[in-house]
Amino acid sequence: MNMRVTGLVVLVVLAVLLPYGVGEYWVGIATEAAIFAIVALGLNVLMGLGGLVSVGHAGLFATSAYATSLAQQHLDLGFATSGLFAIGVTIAVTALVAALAVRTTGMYFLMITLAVGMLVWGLSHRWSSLTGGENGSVSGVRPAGVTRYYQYYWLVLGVLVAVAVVLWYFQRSRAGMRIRGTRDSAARMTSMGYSPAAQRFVAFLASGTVTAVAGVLYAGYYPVVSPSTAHLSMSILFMLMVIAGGSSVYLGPAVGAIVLTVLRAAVSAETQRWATIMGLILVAVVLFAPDGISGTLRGRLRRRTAVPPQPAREPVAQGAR
Amino acid sequence: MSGGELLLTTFNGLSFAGLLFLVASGFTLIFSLMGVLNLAHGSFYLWGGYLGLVTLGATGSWVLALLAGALGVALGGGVLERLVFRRVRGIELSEVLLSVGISLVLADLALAQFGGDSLTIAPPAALAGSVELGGLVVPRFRLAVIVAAVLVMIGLAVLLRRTRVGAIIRAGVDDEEMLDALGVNVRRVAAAVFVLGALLAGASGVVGGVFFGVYPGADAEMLLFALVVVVVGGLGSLQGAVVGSVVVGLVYSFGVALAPDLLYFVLFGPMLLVLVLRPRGILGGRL
Amino acid sequence: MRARAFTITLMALALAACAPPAADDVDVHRTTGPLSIGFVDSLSGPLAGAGTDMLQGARLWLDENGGTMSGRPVELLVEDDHGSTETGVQVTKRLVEANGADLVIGPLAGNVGVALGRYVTTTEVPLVYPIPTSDVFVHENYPTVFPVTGTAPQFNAPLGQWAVAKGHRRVVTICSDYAFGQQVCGGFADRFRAAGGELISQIWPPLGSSDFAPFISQLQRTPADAVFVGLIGADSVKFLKAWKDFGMSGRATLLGSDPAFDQAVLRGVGADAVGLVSVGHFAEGRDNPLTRKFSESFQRAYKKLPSYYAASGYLAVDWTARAIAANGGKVGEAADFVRVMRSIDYPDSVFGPITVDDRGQPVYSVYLREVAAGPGNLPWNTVTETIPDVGATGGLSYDEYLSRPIFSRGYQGGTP
Repeated sequence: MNMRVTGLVVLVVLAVLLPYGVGEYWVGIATEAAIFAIVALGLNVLMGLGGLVSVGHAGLFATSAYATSLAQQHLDLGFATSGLFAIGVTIAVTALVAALAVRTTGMYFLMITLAVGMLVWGLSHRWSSLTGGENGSVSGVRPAGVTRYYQYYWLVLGVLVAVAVVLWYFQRSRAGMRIRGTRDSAARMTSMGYSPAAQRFVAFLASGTVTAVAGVLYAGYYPVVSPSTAHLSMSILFMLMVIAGGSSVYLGPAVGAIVLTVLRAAVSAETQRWATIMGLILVAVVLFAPDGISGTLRGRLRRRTAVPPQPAREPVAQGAR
Repeated sequence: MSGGELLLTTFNGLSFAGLLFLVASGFTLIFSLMGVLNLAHGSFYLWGGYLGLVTLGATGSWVLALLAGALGVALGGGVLERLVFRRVRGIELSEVLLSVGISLVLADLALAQFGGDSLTIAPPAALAGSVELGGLVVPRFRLAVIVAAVLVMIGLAVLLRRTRVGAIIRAGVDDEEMLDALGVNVRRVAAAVFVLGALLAGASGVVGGVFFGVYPGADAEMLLFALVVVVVGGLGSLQGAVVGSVVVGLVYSFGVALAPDLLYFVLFGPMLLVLVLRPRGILGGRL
Repeated sequence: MRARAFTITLMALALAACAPPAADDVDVHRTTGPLSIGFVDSLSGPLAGAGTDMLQGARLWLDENGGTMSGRPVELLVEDDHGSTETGVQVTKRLVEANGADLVIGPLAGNVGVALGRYVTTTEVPLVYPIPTSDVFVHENYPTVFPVTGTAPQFNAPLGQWAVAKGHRRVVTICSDYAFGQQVCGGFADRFRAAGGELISQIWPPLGSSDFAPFISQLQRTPADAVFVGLIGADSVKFLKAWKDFGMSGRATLLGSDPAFDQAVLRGVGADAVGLVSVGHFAEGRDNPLTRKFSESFQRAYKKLPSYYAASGYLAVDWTARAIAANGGKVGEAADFVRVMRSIDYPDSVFGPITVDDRGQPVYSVYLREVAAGPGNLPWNTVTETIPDVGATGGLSYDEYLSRPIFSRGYQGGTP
């Protein structure tokens, strides 16, 4: 255990020192990677812990980013207050969506989240008097003293570490255990007197809250928030981060987010076929590494150190049928 | 809205519904047997359009273009089923994810190959132009699409209800284990259904190319429409696809005319409502 | 253990706060060695067709000039923004911050343009904007952005007066419901009403609508004698198809905006396009040696006729090259460079004569165009009438123009 914590601390220190090693652009990519890592960790509360696949998280992410930007422009709020406002708004929206979705699982849950994501995208796209439509909404406000690119990177990194720690304790809390229990057997939870829908509701809310935090940071990072933030392809990217990283390993989704963000930056400088590469990665992960990067690596390590392998996990989502 | 406008808007809605049914029937067929959303269906549609376009340009024959679109995509679908989907058969999430990955690749390859311009497919000479129907000027091709959709609907209904293959498909929906025990090769039936779905997607791509043109992004557009259609009508049921197509076609047509700003609500609002209130669709199709 | 790790982290942070990393410096004052020019374009997404043309236009210029500007080899760093604001900012950041681009040419999409305008003002790099911009760029001050081909309303305004003069007094507009389409429409609607025309209604299909039949049904009983078409790319193709399919030809005159019947659209429509009337600042069939040479070499290189996007890419690179030559072979300070760009006039160009007014906005000739059968029987735009010296304000003084709001769906001209 100590070894692992030490390793993580070393990693964090290295990450803190990153701006001394690379230029502004790569620090920017690292900032983005850290923001996406927060989303991925949040999404994994739903996917890994809850066994529910959402393809609408970009909708929640964008809700938060737009709310931040709009609060700054129309309510004259600063970074922190607009951020709190946006988190509040996003939690409310998440609660509404969760209330609709938690009675279902599997394919139906997926479709409800998809429809919600499309609705947010449609609103951001069409309600142009509020959102600015395709032009997007001005953002990029950062708190005083954190305006330089590397300072903002440290802020985002700090939040990522905090979110990772909080979620670690959350998944081991009683609420986390109940969510896991519902994933593994809803019937058993019911017989124990817990409502599966309520556990899923909690999971969705936790996931939405974390996503909202990332949305606020994103609004500070980019000069505009635009409808593409809410687009289905963004939701798919988030999902891919979780799956490629490995949803069964606690920090797997963060690894997936970092790898994919850096890869995208590196690849799209060379070729215009990023979509093809992303598609092939998805296919390859599903076919050859269903546990994701970290899950597969861990499996290898375990085997080498002769620790008996964990029992095979059930597929992430149970079918609707 | 005047009387004429009302009639025309209704006609538009119905002809759009015809196209939607052609796309959605394949989609729902695959779902009914495999319980999986094939999110690459839109890419199948798009590639059908491009194959039809290329064939039409090369041969000048509309029949060949339609065949090329349908059979080309059916072949591609068959290969994908064999090489990719079969490996994860039964693991629903994996199947959906695979179809997402494949759709990303197919759309991107189409862009690389055919560029970004919107290309239109000329209708066959016999169906070009418009006819007057009781004071209403309507394009012949749109009328033909309605007719074609009805024919395909009848064909599929006959296939499902009156033939042995259909019986197996329907049985597969109800009880896969039982079929296995009886010695029916479920795998082969699944592959056949997948190919049939792809065939319908490819053919509708050619038809859709005449309707709207073939362009990058048409895949995602059609997929979302198909999704709304099958969700509203009821996942995995043929009658559901019919009802869903008509509802969505009309809602879209009137929605655009009356409340263009709320288009996304008009489309996804009902889908959300149905999912939450009647997850099995308006018709409550069997699952 | 944890305490020690915490201390280390704190120390690292303290160290970091004391000694911030040095910014990378790009030497923009060099006059030798390769020039890095970023090129931000929409090469996928709904605008991909136009975007490909724009890039090809730029490449054609480089091919014709041995790939050099002022004797310096040009390294064109092409980036695709997918038509998305976010990706646009992302790739431009990469060009500026990682690749050390001396300047950036782009983008195509209006939404990306507004974001890039905001972004480049925080950098030391000038932005050469090839495609008509939002009139945000007239209303607000962007000292490091040069709008090569003016603004979106600019080239549609003259059609307003012309329509009334030709007896089209009652008009319906159908324009894409996003920033660029609203601006295109606003330019027309403002001048049309100022000239005494009556705007019966305005129809706003979303960009990328699948089916245009529902919009046609709204036009079927309209008393209007002309329809102003402010649609772009694929949408315009779909509209023209539906128009013909529903037997609308001849019921009302179609008046095309600058982008609506551009070559990028005509390619998708084919022979049916012959006879379409539109307004624009570029006409690939203009009877002029420069335009003819450009159309021919473009067709030779890419097997298609050039659209105005192609011409814009070509001109943007040409203008940049002239400015670099006038600036002693370097880009230098962004604002200085843009001042040099503003000082350049074109007695003639592939577009026609161009001057730049005191506010730094280019002034173009605008053409009334008619589609005719061109080389190889392909449809192309020919010039029927030329309106010289059209500036950004539609004939108003800057004081008056700037006192009005920015064109949007809510503001379509007139005194607010």
